[in-house]
Amino acid sequence: MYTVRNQKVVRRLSYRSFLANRMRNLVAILAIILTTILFTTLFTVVISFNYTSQQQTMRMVGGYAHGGFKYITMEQVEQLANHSSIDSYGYSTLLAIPEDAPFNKRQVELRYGTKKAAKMYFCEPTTGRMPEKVEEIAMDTTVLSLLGIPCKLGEKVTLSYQLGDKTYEDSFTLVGFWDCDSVAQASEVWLAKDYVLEKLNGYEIGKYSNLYGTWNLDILFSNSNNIEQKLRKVAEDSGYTIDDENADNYLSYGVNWAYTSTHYENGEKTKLILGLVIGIVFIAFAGYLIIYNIFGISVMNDLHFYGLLKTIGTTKRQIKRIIRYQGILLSVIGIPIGLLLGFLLGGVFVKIIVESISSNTASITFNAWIFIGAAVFALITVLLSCSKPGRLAAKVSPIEAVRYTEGNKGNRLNKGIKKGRRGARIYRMALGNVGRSKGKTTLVILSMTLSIVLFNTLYSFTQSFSMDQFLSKFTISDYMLGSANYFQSSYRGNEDNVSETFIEAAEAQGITEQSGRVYTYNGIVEAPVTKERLKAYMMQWEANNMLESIDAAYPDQEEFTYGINLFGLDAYPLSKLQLIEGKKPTEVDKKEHPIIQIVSTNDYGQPNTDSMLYDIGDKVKLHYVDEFAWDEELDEMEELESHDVEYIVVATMMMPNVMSTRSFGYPQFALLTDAYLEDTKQEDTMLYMMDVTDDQLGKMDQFVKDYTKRIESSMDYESRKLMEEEFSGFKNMFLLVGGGITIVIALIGILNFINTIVTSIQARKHEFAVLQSIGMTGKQLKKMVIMEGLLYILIAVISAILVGSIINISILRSLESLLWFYDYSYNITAILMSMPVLLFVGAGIPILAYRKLAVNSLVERMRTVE
Amino acid sequence: MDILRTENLYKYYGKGENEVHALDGVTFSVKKGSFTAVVGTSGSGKSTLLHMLGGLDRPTSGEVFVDGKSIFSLKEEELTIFRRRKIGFIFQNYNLVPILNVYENIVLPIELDGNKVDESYVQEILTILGLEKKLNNLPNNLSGGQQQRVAIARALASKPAIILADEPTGNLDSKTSMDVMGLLKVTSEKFKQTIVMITHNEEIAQMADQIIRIEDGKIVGGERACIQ
Repeated sequence: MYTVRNQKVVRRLSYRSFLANRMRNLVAILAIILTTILFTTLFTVVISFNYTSQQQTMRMVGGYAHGGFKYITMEQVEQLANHSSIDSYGYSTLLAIPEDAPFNKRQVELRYGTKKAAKMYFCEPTTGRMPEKVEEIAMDTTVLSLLGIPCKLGEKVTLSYQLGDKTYEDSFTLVGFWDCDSVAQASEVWLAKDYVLEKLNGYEIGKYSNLYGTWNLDILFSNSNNIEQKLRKVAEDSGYTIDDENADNYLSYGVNWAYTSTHYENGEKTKLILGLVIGIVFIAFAGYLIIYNIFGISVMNDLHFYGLLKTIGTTKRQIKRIIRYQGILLSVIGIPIGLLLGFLLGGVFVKIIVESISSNTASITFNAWIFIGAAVFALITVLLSCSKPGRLAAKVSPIEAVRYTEGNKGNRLNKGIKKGRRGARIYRMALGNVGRSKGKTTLVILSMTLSIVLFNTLYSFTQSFSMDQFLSKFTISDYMLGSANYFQSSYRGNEDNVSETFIEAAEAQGITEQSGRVYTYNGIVEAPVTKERLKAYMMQWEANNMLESIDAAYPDQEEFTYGINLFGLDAYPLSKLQLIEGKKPTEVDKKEHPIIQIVSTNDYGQPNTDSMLYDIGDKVKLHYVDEFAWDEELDEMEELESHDVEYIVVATMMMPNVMSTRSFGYPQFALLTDAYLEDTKQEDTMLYMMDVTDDQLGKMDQFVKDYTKRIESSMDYESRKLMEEEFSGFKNMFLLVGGGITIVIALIGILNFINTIVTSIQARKHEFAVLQSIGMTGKQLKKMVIMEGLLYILIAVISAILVGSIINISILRSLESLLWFYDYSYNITAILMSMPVLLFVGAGIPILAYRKLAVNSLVERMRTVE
Repeated sequence: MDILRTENLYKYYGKGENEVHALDGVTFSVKKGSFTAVVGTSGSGKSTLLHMLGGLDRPTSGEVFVDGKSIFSLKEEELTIFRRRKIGFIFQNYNLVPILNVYENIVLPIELDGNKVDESYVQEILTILGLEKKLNNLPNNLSGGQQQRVAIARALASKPAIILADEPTGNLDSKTSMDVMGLLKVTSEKFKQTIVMITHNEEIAQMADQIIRIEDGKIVGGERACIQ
């Protein structure tokens, strides 16, 4: 066997036939663009989303280094940093953390660090540079504004700080600054190496703390896999260990948990990959439907051409190659455009998604894998799509190709017989024409069905979001007033109370219908529990570390006292609790000291009845610690003053989570306000709830918005209206993103339809002329092609209703058990809504195609031999 | 009585040096119930003439009267309707609709006109043409001769004023050609059907009642013809 050098001629044939098919090319390029857009969007969203969450964590952690060693000496830095596996590194040393005003409000760290270290901490000066000389300094704008110094290079900065038992005060010149990341936990102030080393000279490292004067080495490896392993290798190769804390050669180390491979749970990763695979398959299918159809039709129309090629001796393989080359040529044009558009669209989607599910800003990565992945998958789709048409063209026998007219093939099944005598009616002819090429028709209908079903699924999905269910969980009163920290689930004590001024100002509006306080006990209060029931209680959060810590703290005791959250409730908040068992404490004599045990609820509002610590009627003696001291040596609490009160558990009640501390971990109990104030001797109001007259909601809204913004910015609120907005924002995210994808898929469906109709009318040019010559009027012909178009639409809509209903009943209904705010109802509105557009397209496209045909005179059309 | 008459038909294609005189003043008439053959070589203008007679194309000047009506005074849509009522076509390549079976093809012009099919008449045609057993067949399942017989049946079914046949035997072998010519002749006589046939085949033309010869767009003579 020898190779024939026919590459060139095959390419020429392919190229010429490519040029001859302008309309086909245009449609195919559009189809490839749309398919590539879908792939690129998918990859952009997945990769950027992943990247955004990684970035977010890194910014919170304060660095993007893979990991590093802490509290080491300069010699160790030099020794470790030379390891061959390290890609790049930076190191720094901490001089001091000043605590006097104005630094009581923010943690500020005075450091020397290499430029790389500054970059890794996201603290590299964006204006100016890092300090080099002793009197130079660089810091972020947050610290500058704390010090009240304008953001200008050359400004004088004076700092005082403590190191060991000495206090220093020095003046510096500002040589660099940058904007501090809002989520970063601390600010860095960079000083020159000489300055820091000079001050540390004489400071006994490790005497007070090993934080100061020791070095941190931050490392980037070539990739973020198995960071801990790599750190171990680096340490061990230099003769150290990171495993045995008591060994002399122990090195303290850290792994940046921002890296996906270390912080994503396996389950989540599988889900992500599964979603990606489903997306890819779906897009490839949608793309295949249209690109295959385009090539299929084009091959059918050119069958004479391929027959001719075969008569003169072109082999099957060469014909296949001719068609494949065309696919590649089209991809070369279509894919780059699709990549660009898809990347832009994906970027918009990421922004919408990230902003509606968190307050973060999205980071869109310009990751090469997005483009490589999307391009490869798009190309695979194109090659798959033109492989069967290629085989078809290769298989054609020269004789048949000459005789071929569309519709021959299907009829062989019934031996060229067609029963009936009614076929000459226009609608019957239309029906016959649609059924002429079953494969082509099926592809178009599948393609359209796909887009209609997708649209309907998306629409019913978002329509089933139940605002009522959402609101009933998150808003139990018109307004909830609290501190900003409280609403961020970080209520830490009386500094996070609702301010009395806020409550007074709100009440002064004079439109309150009902209102009341939720108090919470800021201090230590303990209740006797049995280990068994406490563990059962903790099980509801599936927090294994809590169970372990209970075991560790009480290894041998079956009964002990355990810290609880205690609330005091006014009548109005109390009315929001739901009685599960027992009697409301208001119905019990106060002298009996009634107490409510609060049972937590799941997302569907069902009580977790397995998690009750006591039975109704049980006596509980609460132990209030009024004063205590911390024994530094024993690392233990020492009670100075305490008192006990005995209660009877009269009720088990469900309390909405939004009324509690909004965090979990401790058993919860509640008392009526009077008893609470008397027994606890505290009056910390955590939350103030109020209902206002309905017609005054607008007024109240304006007031709280202004007040929390202008007068007390540490205060915040939640309102029904705010929640409604948040909810519709969430819903809109699905509509926008899903809508965008639906539009692309719908475009594919419509494009497929247009291509099929137009080519089928073009191919029947001669047949139409014949029909006209024997007396079919233009009107009748038009009616026929319109009917053909509408038939496609009709079949697509009917199958969409069928498939849509199946998806509705199966998938969408099952979501009800997965999403608590989802209220399923059967919904095919979107299909009906899209009917007018579909009918318009279904009738319009055939008319346009026919008009274009009718430009030529009848005789001209008769003359063209197929 | 003249069922078909042309007056000074001219048809020019192209302009200037490229101007082609496809028809150069053709005037003739055809009697009702007669079988006329138009004979000419390839490029003589006979196909153009047939297109004019059938109203498929409009002349540069001149008129065609079918059943006393000047057909080019009609608008496009009216002309189509006139054509399906008054003119039947038989083409060289049969031109049957591939998705319709034999019966459906035959009654297509009648149904397009929204008329009831005269079943007994159609049955008679089918018997004469020997198509009774092929009614449910699709066209591509028939031989050339059979397809042409279906085309003849289609042309006859709507009882047109004239049937225009364009090289009806052009794609057939000589034996089948004679069969088809025989059928045309028989139907012409039996149904008093006027037929105008175009052919380049002298032998076949001899079967007609009158022969019109055409050369370079002009009528050059005829046998038993009524040239005015």
